[in-house]
Amino acid sequence: MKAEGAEILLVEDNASDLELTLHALKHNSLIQFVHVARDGEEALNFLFCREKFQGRAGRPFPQLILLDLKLPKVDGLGVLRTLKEDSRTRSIPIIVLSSSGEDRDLLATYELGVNSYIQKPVDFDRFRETVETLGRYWLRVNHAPPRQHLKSRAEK
Amino acid sequence: MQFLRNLVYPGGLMPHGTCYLWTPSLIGLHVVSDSLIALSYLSIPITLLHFTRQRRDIPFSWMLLCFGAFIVACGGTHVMEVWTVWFPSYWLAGAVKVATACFSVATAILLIQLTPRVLALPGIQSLLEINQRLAGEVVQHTQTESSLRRVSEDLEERVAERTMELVVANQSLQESELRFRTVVEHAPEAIFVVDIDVERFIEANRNAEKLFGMTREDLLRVGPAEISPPFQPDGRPSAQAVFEERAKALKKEKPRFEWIHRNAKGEDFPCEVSVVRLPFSGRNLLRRSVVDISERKRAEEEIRKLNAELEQRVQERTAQLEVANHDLESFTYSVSHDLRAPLRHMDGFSRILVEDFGPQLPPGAKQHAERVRAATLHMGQLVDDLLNLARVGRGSLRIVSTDLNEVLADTILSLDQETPGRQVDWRIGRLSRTPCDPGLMRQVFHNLLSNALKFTKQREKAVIEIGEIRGESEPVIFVRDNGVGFDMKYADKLFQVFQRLHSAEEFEGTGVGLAIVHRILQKHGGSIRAESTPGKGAAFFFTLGRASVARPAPVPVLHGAA
Repeated sequence: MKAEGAEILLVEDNASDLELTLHALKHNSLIQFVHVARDGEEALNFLFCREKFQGRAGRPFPQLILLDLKLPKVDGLGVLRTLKEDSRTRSIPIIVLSSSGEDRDLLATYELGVNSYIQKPVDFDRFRETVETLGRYWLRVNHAPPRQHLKSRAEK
Repeated sequence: MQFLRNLVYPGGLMPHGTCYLWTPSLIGLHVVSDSLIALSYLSIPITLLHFTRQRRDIPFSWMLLCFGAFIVACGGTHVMEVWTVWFPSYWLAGAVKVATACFSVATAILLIQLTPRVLALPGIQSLLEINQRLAGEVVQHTQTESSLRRVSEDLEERVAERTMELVVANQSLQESELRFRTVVEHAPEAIFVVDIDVERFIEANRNAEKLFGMTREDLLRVGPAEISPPFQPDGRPSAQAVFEERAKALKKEKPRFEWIHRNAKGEDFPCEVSVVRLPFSGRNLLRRSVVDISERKRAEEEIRKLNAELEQRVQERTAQLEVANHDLESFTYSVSHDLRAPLRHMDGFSRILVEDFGPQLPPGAKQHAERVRAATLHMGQLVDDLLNLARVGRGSLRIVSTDLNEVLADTILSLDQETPGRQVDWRIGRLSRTPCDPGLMRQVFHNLLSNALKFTKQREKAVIEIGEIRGESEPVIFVRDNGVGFDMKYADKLFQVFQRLHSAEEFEGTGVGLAIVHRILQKHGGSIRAESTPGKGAAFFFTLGRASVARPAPVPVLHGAA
């Protein structure tokens, strides 16, 4: 039950990256639905059911968030900070998927409480393997927080 | 004449013999007696005269002469007695008697007058006593005198000694005075002595004359405030400032301060002045020594300017470096994020193209797509290696005492896993424990050993030797292989970025690995060199230097790593 019907949120602004990531995720049977946000602000609106996502109020949070760092409007670090500071969203596992393996990005994200950091390899085969591995790990090997605590609520 | 004849032959008178009736015996008696008396009376004065002549110390000797004259006169009367026996010269006899009477009376009177004085003269006995006493006293006096002489001699000796001492002391005092005068006179500073009660200099040395361009006489007519401008740089009137510094000196402090003086030409110049109270009873004297510090001030000003300039330049340079550093960091960050993304897309879509549309592709297209992928991956590797090099240059060392044997063993283990099927004879020597950054040293070993593995891949059995030899001042670690080696004339290119001595077809690689090794060792303060003969393998020798002294990270540069 945990595995089937898993919903994840992919925050990615670059169309090519988006397509490649979706391509890599497509074969993953553990994922039933991938929500996509094209910038940080949209991701936060989606999670906190604001603006065009008001209708989502009461729906559960996604079980996993895949977050790019370089994003328009609110960048990945901003999204990460907001989610990890808010008691409602703090327990959602967040995995950074970034081009960069720079120390300063690693430090900044781990200090904000990221759950995992993946540098996207240039080699697409290895990327696919990585996505496969992280899906399996986070959705099957790892025990997620109890589902009822992940109810999303519209902001007051 | 008649008178004289009458005197001797008076007429009318009878000779005295007539009275004797010319009785021969009677006449004889008188004549002989009178003659003897006269003779005696005449001899006595001669004796007295002789006596007084001999004994001139006899008091009242003139009295004896009076007696003498009186006796001669008496003798004369007796001669006349004899004369008148036969010649009746009674007037003459009377005259002689008158003379005798005069002498007698005078002598009698003088004797009466003299008697108390003669009586006052001590008698013989008392004279003897006195004499004896005097003799005793003389002895006593002689003794006293001799002891006095001794004392006197002693005193004289001491006086002479003291005099000599004083002469010596005086001489050394004079020498000392002269010495100090010379010291003061030729002192490098201008020296004054100020009598503050009269507010005048009372001494000034040669340099004082020179410094102020005034004669000593002129200087001794003024005081400190009069050879200074009216105000000092701190705004105090010079006269007041002189007074304040003087108050300190009088309290036995030794004030030393900067002061502006003014010379005879009216030129102001900065000085260092020190004032000391002189120990001198009765007068309030201060020594004021003045050193012209114009040169020093100029030099200080010069140094201050230079320092400021230098500081300015350092700041500018630092700012430039900060900007450069920041630019570079932004650049590498941007490379890391943005340069890799298109490569991923190229690789990803090439892969998808082949996967999804493989059957529809014309022959050869698949190979082209694979070439695109290979080139993309190579580019990705180049980017990663460059970022790695930049990271090594940028980061700081974390120096700890490290067991390099462990680092080496770990590296070999992971390399073995990456090269299954290879026959490698690892010959590993013992390495010293060294202060270094273990993470970076792992990279050094990884790069050197993977190089060794790469260039021995054509050998049936690779022999890779790692060990340590004693260098001049520090251990030298070496890595030696039996690979293809290289031509020593290109040795200087070995550690430069993107410099490769073999084609990519022969040996894969980006030409960054050895540049990274070089950079890491350089950061540790060490160095690396290589030796090789083509076909006979290569050897790399490196030192870690004084790695414990962490060097500041140099500004990372992406080109020219050597």
